[in-house]
Amino acid sequence: MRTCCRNIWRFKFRAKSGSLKFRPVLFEKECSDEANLPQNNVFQLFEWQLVSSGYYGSTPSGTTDFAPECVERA
Amino acid sequence: MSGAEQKVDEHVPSENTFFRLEEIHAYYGESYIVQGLSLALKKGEILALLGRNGAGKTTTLRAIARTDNPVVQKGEIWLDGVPLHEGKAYQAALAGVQLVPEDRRIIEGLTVEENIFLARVAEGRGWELDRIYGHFPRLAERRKQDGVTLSGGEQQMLAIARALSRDVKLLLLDEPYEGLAPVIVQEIEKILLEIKEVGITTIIVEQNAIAALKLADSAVILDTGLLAFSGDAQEVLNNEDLLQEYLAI
Ligand SMILES: Nc1ncnc2c1ncn2[C@@H]1O[C@H](COP(=O)(O)OP(=O)(O)OP(=O)(O)O)[C@@H](O)[C@H]1O
Ligand SMILES: [Mg+2]
Repeated sequence: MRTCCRNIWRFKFRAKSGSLKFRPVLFEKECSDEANLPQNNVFQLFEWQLVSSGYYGSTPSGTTDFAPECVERA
Repeated sequence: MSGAEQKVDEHVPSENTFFRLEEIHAYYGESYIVQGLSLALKKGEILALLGRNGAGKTTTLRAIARTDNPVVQKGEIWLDGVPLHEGKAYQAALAGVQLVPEDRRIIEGLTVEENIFLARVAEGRGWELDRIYGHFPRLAERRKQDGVTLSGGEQQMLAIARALSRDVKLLLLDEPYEGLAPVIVQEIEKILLEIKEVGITTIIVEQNAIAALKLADSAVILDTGLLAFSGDAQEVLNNEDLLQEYLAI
């Protein structure tokens, strides 16, 4: 897992039969609490919150521009 | 929002105006929803934005927060001298807009505290955790609990707390009292008045119009995307016809 920009968050997304394995972890937190959550739920909420936090801009398609170095997809 | 510095805000209706909409027209695709709405707020003012189902209240809040949908095709949105209409959602957030949506959007798999931390990833942070917990003791007690396991009222508090974790200038609340017991509504009202005290400007959309009007200084009533009333909140409370015609009370 790569470390996200500014070391604030680390993410891991893994495509798995239509859903994403999604593991948001605070940088000081152990990566133990993995959740298997549908893409359209938590992932979008997460995007929304990052936009609402002024962290990421949106692309014209309405999806969030995650800096590629912040996200690792398997 | 490059070029914001050079732009001159030409239509300032009053030097006290802190936030205003100037003739905004908002669309979902071909659907023309908000049809030329204007309004102005002073710093620290609470506005109740009311109207029947489908009147365009949520659409107006989303337009202000600069979400990708609706599209604002015409009009201007100014907050504290910043032209929000020229920017995107994250820029509106950086300028001080915080939308607390109706569904609250607490993130599953994150604790109360992590949900709050996530609001603090970018510059422009607001209240520190201690201050938030001081105002929301229920959240302090449950800081390690998964956010989505909170009660409805507690989730609403968390959603507001998250907004306060940003340097919020304009707080947009979409139906904050929905589904909450009166005692919890009172708790949230108390917090909203405390927020007002520190100069945060608020727009509250609420089906519980009476509660919103009692809290608010001013009121705007929308009727299918058009302005039906704009004035003092008290004036609406005293006006049977308005209450009946547009608010079904
Ligand atoms: N994403 C969308 N695409 C197309 N039309 C939409 C969309 N969202 C809302 N609308 C339509 O826009 C109009 C205004 O909706 P809006 O959600 O702003 O109403 P509201 O005043 O918030 O109503 P309520 O009190 O029921 O929440 C409605 O006719 C609705 O059907
Ligand atoms: Mg609505």
